[in-house]
Amino acid sequence: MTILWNRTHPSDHISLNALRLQEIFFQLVRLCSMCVYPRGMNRSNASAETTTAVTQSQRLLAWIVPMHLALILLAMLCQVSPSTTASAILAICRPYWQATHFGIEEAPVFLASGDVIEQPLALAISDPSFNDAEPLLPMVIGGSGPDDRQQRFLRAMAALVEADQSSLIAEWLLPLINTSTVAPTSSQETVVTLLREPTLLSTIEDDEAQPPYQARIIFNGESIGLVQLRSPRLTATAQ
Amino acid sequence: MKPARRVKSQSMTKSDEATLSEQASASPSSSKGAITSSGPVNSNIPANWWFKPLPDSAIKGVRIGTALTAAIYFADAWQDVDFWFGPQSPHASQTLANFLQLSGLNEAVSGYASPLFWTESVWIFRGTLLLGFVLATAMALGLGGRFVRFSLWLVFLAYANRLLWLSGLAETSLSLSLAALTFAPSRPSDGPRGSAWTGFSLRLVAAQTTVLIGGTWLAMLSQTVWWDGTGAIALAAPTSNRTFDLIGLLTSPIWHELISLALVSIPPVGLLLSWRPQPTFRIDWPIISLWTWCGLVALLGSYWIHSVVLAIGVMAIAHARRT
Repeated sequence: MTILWNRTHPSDHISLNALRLQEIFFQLVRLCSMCVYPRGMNRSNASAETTTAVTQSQRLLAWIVPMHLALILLAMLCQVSPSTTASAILAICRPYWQATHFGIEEAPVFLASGDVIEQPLALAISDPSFNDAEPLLPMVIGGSGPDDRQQRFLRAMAALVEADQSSLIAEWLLPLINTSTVAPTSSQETVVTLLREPTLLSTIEDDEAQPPYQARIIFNGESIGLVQLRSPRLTATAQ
Repeated sequence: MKPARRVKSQSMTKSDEATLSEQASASPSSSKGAITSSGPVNSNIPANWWFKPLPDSAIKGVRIGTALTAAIYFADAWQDVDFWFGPQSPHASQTLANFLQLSGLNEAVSGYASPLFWTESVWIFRGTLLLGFVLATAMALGLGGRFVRFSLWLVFLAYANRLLWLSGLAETSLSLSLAALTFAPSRPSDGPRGSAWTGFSLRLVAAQTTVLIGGTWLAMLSQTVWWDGTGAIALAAPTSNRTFDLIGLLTSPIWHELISLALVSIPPVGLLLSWRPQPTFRIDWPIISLWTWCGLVALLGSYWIHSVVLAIGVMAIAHARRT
């Protein structure tokens, strides 16, 4: 890296610095290239019989692809716990990964965590004492594509419950109740419940917990409304 | 500018010079072709690796496998298209528009572009799925070339983007593979050495699969179930959402801890060994172990489409690392 020659003119001093910077830049690029592309790849390229002319667009693509791969990895790891920088990068690149569907949002990239959130969810219509419960969603084969879509829909609903967004849940539930084959009639007192099913890993406490969401169906002429039933809370207010 | 010339000659390393002289001595015609207007080919290591030519036979299995998986995906989606996208349904365009407006999520999902957001006609949805199925079948048969592959990816995007939060890992991995395969040329007419774009396409599938499996492994390390040996049970536990109820086989600690260990240890070891240019094993154990991993994830977690796409990607690694 050291460049030695006799300086005979003051302008050489400037050009020396410029050239040193240029050399440092070349070495940095080479170093990055060696990090991204291991030595084995370099050796394999030495084979003359398999090497062809590389166009400018191919060179460009060869540098874009690692960024594309890094973005996929970043999107996956952000599902665990996103850092501020990672979130900012993903936000900037959002048009790219959303339009191409290359990104990953709200997906279990770690396959399984054993947490309560992974318990299967179900929507049921029943009377207030939860007798004669009928599933609100159509029956599908477990693990199939339709089953996955139902579970993602119900998980999104459970997330809305946690965020205390009852009006948004109603936006999804009312069309379901309207089109359901087990639609209630005004003569019955009916409750719709989002419940978690027990699994081998769920504790008794998890299984006995209140359902995430329960609402009474109210009939007002032709239209239907929902009134959320909340579990009674302890209060310090004088009754 | 004598010093400048001197620096330029220094920037070319010994390996580059050796490569050029090797090219010149091995094949004068190829070395002549190796010089482009922007300098020697081998000064650009990344491009040379990505675009090293491969014959069409190398990518054929990956293309057919991905196309058949896409066809199965579209057939599977046919089942519940009425339920989600029909008028008055929970994911109909009008319902969705109201929901996004109320929740203020319009901007967060604005990148998911699809013409299917403008319709509530189930027949248009069914037509899209049918078109996707036909294009996937044509791609599996090797018909139509780049046009069919690119059209298939666009049709897939139209449906997958319309799903919004109903989409998962399967859609992402399938979109990545379909997009990578669009680069391969229409006809294998580039002589016995093959085409640079076929090489790029196959290596892109292989690299994406490596990132997906590697990323899954890194994410798995963040969950305690993969450290205490109960990961396999956690994967199979939601039995009502699994195609096969295998929880009975996993109740013995030996079994579920061994399977959990396999699920955690195969990705790093398998990926590292499978990318070695010269396999040292008579039987390709790294590739077989990665396929086993995909099989276990599919069986226990019912990640069917995602696992099949990854298994096909592992096949791409097997072809890409030999070159």
